[in-house]
Amino acid sequence: MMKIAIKMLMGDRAKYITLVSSIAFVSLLFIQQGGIFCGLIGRTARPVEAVDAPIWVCDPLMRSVDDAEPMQDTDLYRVRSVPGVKWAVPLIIRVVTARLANGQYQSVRLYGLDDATLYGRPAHMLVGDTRDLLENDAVIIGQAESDKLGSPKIGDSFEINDTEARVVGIAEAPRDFLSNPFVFTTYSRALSYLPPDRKTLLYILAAPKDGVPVQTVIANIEKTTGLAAYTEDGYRWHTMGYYLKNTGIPVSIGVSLAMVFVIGTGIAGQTFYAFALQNERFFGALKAMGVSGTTLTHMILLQSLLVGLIGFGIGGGLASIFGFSAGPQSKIAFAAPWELAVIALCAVLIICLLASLASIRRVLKLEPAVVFHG
Amino acid sequence: MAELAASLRNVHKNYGEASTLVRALDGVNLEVVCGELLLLVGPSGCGKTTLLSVLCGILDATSGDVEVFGQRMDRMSQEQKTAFRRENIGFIFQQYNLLPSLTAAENVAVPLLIHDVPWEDAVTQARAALAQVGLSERTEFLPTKLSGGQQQRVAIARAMVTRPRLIVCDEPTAALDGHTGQMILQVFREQVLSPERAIVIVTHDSRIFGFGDRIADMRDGRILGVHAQQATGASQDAVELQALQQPATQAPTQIQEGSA
Repeated sequence: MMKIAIKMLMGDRAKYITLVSSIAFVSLLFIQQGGIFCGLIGRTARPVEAVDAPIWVCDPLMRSVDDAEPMQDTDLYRVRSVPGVKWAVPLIIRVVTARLANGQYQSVRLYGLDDATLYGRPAHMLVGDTRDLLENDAVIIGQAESDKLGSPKIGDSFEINDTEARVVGIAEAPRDFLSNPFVFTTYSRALSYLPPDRKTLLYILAAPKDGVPVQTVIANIEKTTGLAAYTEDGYRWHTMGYYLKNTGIPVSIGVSLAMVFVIGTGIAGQTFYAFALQNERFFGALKAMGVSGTTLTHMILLQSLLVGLIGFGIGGGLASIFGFSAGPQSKIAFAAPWELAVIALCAVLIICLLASLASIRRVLKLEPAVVFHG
Repeated sequence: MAELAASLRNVHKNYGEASTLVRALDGVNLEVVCGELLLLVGPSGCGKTTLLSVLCGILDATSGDVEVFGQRMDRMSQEQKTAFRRENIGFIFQQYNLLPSLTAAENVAVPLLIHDVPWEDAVTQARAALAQVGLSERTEFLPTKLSGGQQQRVAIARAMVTRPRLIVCDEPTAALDGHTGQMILQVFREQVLSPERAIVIVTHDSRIFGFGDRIADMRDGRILGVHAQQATGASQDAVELQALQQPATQAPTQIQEGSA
């Protein structure tokens, strides 16, 4: 009987295409909107991912990587003295204003890297060498968003806080939530770019000694210094959590996803119901011939499941094309982790289930005598 | 004496209540025996279809006894009725009710599939049933590619493929021209009717009256009379039905034309 259900479904081409299209559209919107949500939230943590350090230490009041709660300079030495810490280096990440050659002002994300080790330097240089940072006034810029700095070349310069910044290299760098160009320089030079302040140390990057678990070292740092310490992943989530709680992004995207859910359920439900109505006398004939209500329910659920899976496949495929065409370096924030696909599939299946309920109810309540009404 | 296929005793079926009450069946008494083709005739709205629905258990009677092959339909649960219909009753509808997306063979296979016969076996048996009604060349045609008469023959093959002992038909010739309608009734008599099977046909098509072994005349929810005849297969426009008084429940062997 299940094969008959499939043939019934696919035999009505117009309704079948409408159903699959509506579910595909819902799936596309779900994954696309969800992907933009994941992409946007993920971008808030890009400044953390750009550094790649095992342990991040900061002031306990620091709410996100875009916050600025400086520590005492001596905290660096306190962390270095914590049992299990192999090394610790300072790091500055601040959003500052640059003045371009044409007089225009542009916000940039400034990284001040440890002068001795340049820890946190860009992993992939497109032009130049990270060691060139040791030259006077040297900065390396990230390629992403570099157009906002006038797409400078090696040797071009701009000003930060009235101090010259000369481009000695161009590196691969991610796009962050604020869409600011990344500028890397040494820690000491970064201090010269910042307004004078009593405390300037924003982060301490550290690593555990060989064989010592990261969590143990983190616990030691927090206990010994009173500072906050995170794994890189932990600090990513700390930052993303701040944006999730304190911005309208989840609500905005959530509302649009809810609308997609409601509209999708409405369209699919209406079409399913119309399908059941149109096939009423056939369902009635099946009932008269002795098909049980349970079997009819299974038939409708199978039709619904099939539409859901095919529609999800098409919608998911279209969303993937959208994601691939956008690409990781695109200005469009899009990320589709497998969890998003699972959630979208569950949502689609719930839509299909809800959409089929009215049809199931209609068919179950259907008097088989309807088949004798000419 | 032939086995009793179905009997209805003092069956009432009401729709609505109080001022809107409609007595669709008003104390119907009727017996159907195996090996006969019974025509249930009467004007539109007289209760023929309701009687047929009650007889095969797809509509519950308001009161009265409904017995099919010794089983009291009025005492069965819906699930039991569904199972009973599956095992014992074949249906032929006025609008054929063939699933448009299934081929003729697949449509005929549906009752077998309901009986959990594997798909391939069911379609093979369905092809054989179609051959019986002269449609061996049309087994893979969709209903839309078949004429009205061919669709009705597919419906007949579907009704008999599981060899049910009772076949009920609702206006099987209403959508057909006279010649095709008579041909369909010929198929009923020659291919479907057998000593262990009964056929009940609801019709107001006087052109096929000659194919029935008995004709039950209905008016206003009552059986006015049951007329036994020698089925000739000829057009019976001139058949005169005796207006018999209730109850008219005798088996055909006992009924005498004009008797009450």
